[in-house]
Amino acid sequence: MLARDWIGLVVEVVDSPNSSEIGLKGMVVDETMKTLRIETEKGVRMVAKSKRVFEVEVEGMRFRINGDLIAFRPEERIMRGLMIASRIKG
Amino acid sequence: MAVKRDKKLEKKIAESRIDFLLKLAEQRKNSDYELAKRYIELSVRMAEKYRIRLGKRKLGFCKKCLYPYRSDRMRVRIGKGVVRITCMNCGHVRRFKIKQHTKNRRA
Repeated sequence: MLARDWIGLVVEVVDSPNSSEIGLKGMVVDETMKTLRIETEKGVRMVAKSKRVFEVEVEGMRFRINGDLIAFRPEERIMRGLMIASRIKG
Repeated sequence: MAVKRDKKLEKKIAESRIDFLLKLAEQRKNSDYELAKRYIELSVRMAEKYRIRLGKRKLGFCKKCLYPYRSDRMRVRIGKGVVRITCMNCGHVRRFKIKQHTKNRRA
């Protein structure tokens, strides 16, 4: 999951220091190193990754992911995400 | 100590992501042209990073400005055995030779 593509996924913001962002739900349209752009019913919003927790549903499974773990450039995350995953496994 | 990278798995993931992004760009190019360009930019960067050949997938967008080819934004001319595709965003011209089926070309 850490190495996946986030564009096109439906994401919900579960925890955030900014209280107006909690409960935001929508599709990810674009991604930069430190932000996600989420397309909601009220237009596109930019949400920072750090210090936020996202909930994603992929192939019937639900994941809760700390935004700090995915704070890489999208093309770098395949490499870095796999490294983090292998480190967690041990 | 640095963790050893699994380059085969990296390539596999990158390949599927590139295909996915190019497909999205193709779907989006009529509604949101800028976003389609952004997807292509990402996939090209990924291909460079993980050394994946794009092959025929290259033909879907302009090599120079990375905007996807759309019928109202491109011009195709065929002549003298050459196909010329002009991008109307940046004016870049690509040329391809049409392969000829001659049996005794090297005879």
